[in-house]
Amino acid sequence: MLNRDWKVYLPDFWEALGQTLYMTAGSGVLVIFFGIVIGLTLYLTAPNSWSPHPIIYHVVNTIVNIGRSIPFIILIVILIPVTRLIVGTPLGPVAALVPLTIGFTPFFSRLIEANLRELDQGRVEAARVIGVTTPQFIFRILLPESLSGIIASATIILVGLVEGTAVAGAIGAGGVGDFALTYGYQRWYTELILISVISMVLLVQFIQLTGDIWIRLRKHKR
Amino acid sequence: MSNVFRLDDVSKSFARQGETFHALDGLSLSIPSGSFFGIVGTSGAGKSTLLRLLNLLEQPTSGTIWFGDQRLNGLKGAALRDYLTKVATIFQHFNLFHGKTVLENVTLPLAVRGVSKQVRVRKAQELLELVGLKDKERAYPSQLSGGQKQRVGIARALVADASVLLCDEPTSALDSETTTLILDLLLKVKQQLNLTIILITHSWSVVRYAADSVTLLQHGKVVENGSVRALLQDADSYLGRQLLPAPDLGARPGDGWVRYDLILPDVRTQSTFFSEVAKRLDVTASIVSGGIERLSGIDAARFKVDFDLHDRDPAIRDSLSAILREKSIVLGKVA
Ligand SMILES: Nc1ncnc2c1ncn2[C@@H]1O[C@H](COP(=O)(O)OP(=O)(O)OP(=O)(O)O)[C@@H](O)[C@H]1O
Ligand SMILES: [Mg+2]
Repeated sequence: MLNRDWKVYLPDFWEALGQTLYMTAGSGVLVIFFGIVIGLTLYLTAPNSWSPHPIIYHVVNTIVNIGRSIPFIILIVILIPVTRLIVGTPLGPVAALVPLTIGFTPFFSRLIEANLRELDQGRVEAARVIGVTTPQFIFRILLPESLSGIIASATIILVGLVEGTAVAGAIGAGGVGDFALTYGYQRWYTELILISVISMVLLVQFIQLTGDIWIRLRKHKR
Repeated sequence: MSNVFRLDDVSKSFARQGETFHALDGLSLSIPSGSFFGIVGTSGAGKSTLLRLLNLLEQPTSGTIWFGDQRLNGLKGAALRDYLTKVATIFQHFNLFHGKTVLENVTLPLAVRGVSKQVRVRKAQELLELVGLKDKERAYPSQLSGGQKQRVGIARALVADASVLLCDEPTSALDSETTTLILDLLLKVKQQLNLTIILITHSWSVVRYAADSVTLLQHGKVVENGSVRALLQDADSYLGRQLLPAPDLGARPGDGWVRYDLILPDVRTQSTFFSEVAKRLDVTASIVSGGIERLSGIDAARFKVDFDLHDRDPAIRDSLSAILREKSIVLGKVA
């Protein structure tokens, strides 16, 4: 029975795995980019920070809080019209990038904001008395000094996104989660659930290990 | 002598629990250029606040701050960055960038000013050589001792050709031997690079060792201020007495003896002082107690000395007093 199943379902599985990798990597890039931009904004404009700006801080802070308070599964549904507008269809892995990015960016922004705050006041003041401009502060001091924390946060968010792709799969995004649900849940092919789960576990392990090793390589830089 | 900084009636207040708190309260002060200027005072006196006005981490609430003939109030943007090349800061906790090597830390002030890589690396290597860390340029701060970190801090501060170095408790996180080494380095770079150094400290021994001028702050105001030599010679100066503390009094002088509390401002050229006095008046001099301190590079001493005037003409008292005042500073006389 196993042999027959493999021949039929293996191509489907590879496709699903490809979709999961695509969704994780694609939304990962977008979440990390937007999250860093928003996290930087929160950090820089906060009271008593590098260049305080109460209005910007308040607005961004509120949006991030709202974003974080909507459960992901509900967010996907709410975002269907938006997704259709941007991608043309609410279905498939490309369309899934929209809810994945919008759903995970607020949380990641908070992680980044917390990472940036790890930079102690002393080093911030050292940067000030050296006379750096704001872009120089961001790119030469703030981000490099916070990189270990940012890597740790990116690891967390990528693992979260792997899980997110499975949730998105439930409503037509494809991917390993979808594959497992379709063949496993609906038809009860246990071995297919098993390889789905194993592949997800391996993917998560790979992400976590890469992050951990990278951070360990930076041990002197903290 | 001209002044690097002049503060005119400067106040700095903070809002604290709804109340206004004056960290600096109408402070006026001139800092002579080329000096090693020590700032002392109890915790909360406003020392750090004063320094943070000079590197513009804070703006004064009122009053004017002058750097030569440049007014510092409200300085920002390119003018501020230009000013910060001339006035550099080192910190108690060094504040090096952990993600950068020693060399990258030291080149940073030049890099952000667009100096070419070749020039900034050469300049940074010169500075690292000056502070004695030539072999550490590839190390990260986490691999250095406290003293080495402060040396990197000094190199980073001075790499962009500063003329003033501000130091907020630069040795408070270091042991006493390392403190001496860092102070020696500060004295050396001050000399070689023609710097003015302004240094906050809690430690009298740091002031004695390095400063040539001292200011005492209290409740945001200057209580006493002057050159170490002048303070030393002022019998009423609190700072002068702290710099050269009173040795033990000893038992009361015997009948017919008088005791003097004296300062010899330069022991090296005055080593025969007591024998000269004794010879000239034909009296016996007996040292009760004493101490020698090196103050801004010159050994000064304070002695309690008893002179035997038993059965002598009363006029000899005036002669003794006159001779002592000629070459020493008489702080007090115990009959
Ligand atoms: N940003 C601030 N907000 C509120 N109060 C402040 C601020 N900075 C300083 N102060 C207050 O101003 C006073 C003077 O502080 P400052 O740091 O200048 O003292 P200091 O003489 O350096 O003391 P220490 O020897 O403990 O370092 C303190 O009472 C401090 O609490
Ligand atoms: Mg202080």
